[in-house]
Amino acid sequence: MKFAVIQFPGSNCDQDCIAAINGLDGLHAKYVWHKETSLDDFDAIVLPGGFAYGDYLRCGAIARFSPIMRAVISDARAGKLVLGTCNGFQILCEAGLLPGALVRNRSLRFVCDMVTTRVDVDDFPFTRSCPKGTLLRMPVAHGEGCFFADAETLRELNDNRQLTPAAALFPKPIPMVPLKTSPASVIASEISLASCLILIALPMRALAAQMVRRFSGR
Amino acid sequence: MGGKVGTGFTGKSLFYVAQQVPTSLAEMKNQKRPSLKPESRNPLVSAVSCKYGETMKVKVVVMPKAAVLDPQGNAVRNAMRHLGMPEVHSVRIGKYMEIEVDGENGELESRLHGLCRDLLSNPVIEDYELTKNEERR
Repeated sequence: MKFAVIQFPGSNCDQDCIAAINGLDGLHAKYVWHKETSLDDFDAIVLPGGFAYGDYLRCGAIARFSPIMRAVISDARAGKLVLGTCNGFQILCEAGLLPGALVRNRSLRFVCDMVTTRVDVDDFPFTRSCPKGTLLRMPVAHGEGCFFADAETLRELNDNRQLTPAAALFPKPIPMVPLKTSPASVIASEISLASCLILIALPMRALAAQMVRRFSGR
Repeated sequence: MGGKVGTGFTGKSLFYVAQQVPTSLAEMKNQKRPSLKPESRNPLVSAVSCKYGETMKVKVVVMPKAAVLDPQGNAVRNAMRHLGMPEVHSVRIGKYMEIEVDGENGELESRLHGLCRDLLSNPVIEDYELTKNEERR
């Protein structure tokens, strides 16, 4: 299975994505520069994290007009697998592929931490090997990760179980997650659009052994 | 003399200064500006002058919507209260952009509005206001 990792000027998780995907059996990842116009050679698309176009104007606001985005949007609508993480989430929101937008963290701080996400949908391409209810620990690192949508859209997303707030998983706050200061900013949002997995978290970084060891104490 | 050059550094007055340099202040005051009717202008300069005259200045203010939390504004509000102004009720922080466009017509303006919606603001979280500056350069 061939993955395209889109490189925008300012992407910085692209190498993590390539390393993580190429480290798995049967998966191959290749860089695709954002000036390309076709993704026909690939089975899946990854929009990596980072600061595309320096986050000027708004995160993802300029990147969404890159030539490759036309192909990304049409392929996503046609059912190709799309994984958007961190800045990729912001770009897909700006591109109008997802409802809502990401705004500045309520704490005004850059959050760099580990969050726990729960798999709520198991018949979904990205979570097929995880039974429902599996908890996944993964890193987050973002300054504009507070998901905003109007009340109606939020209700719709919640009803369809497409949004998984990390904070709702545990009765008591996890020490590593600053729940009180920025509840919405640590929402590890997982919105599925047929074949689209969108996370503010950075699962590819969880594949680096030293990251997991440092944060989980294991 | 230097002051004269500085009074208007535009295509029109550059041509004017180059043609007649005043020698005294009195002469400067009495001077009649040359007519700017098309037939009286140097054809080489007039083409440029027309273009300079049609620059449109546009100001765009982008503000977060009322329903969107503005943590930056709240932080500034709190700082203002701490610095001796407890009367400060609310601070909202947005973006201000100055844009210069060659040419001036309704079609350009409607295209600008389109870009305001698509690029300069995100209608989900922000409102924009576009004002045209009538002053010509």
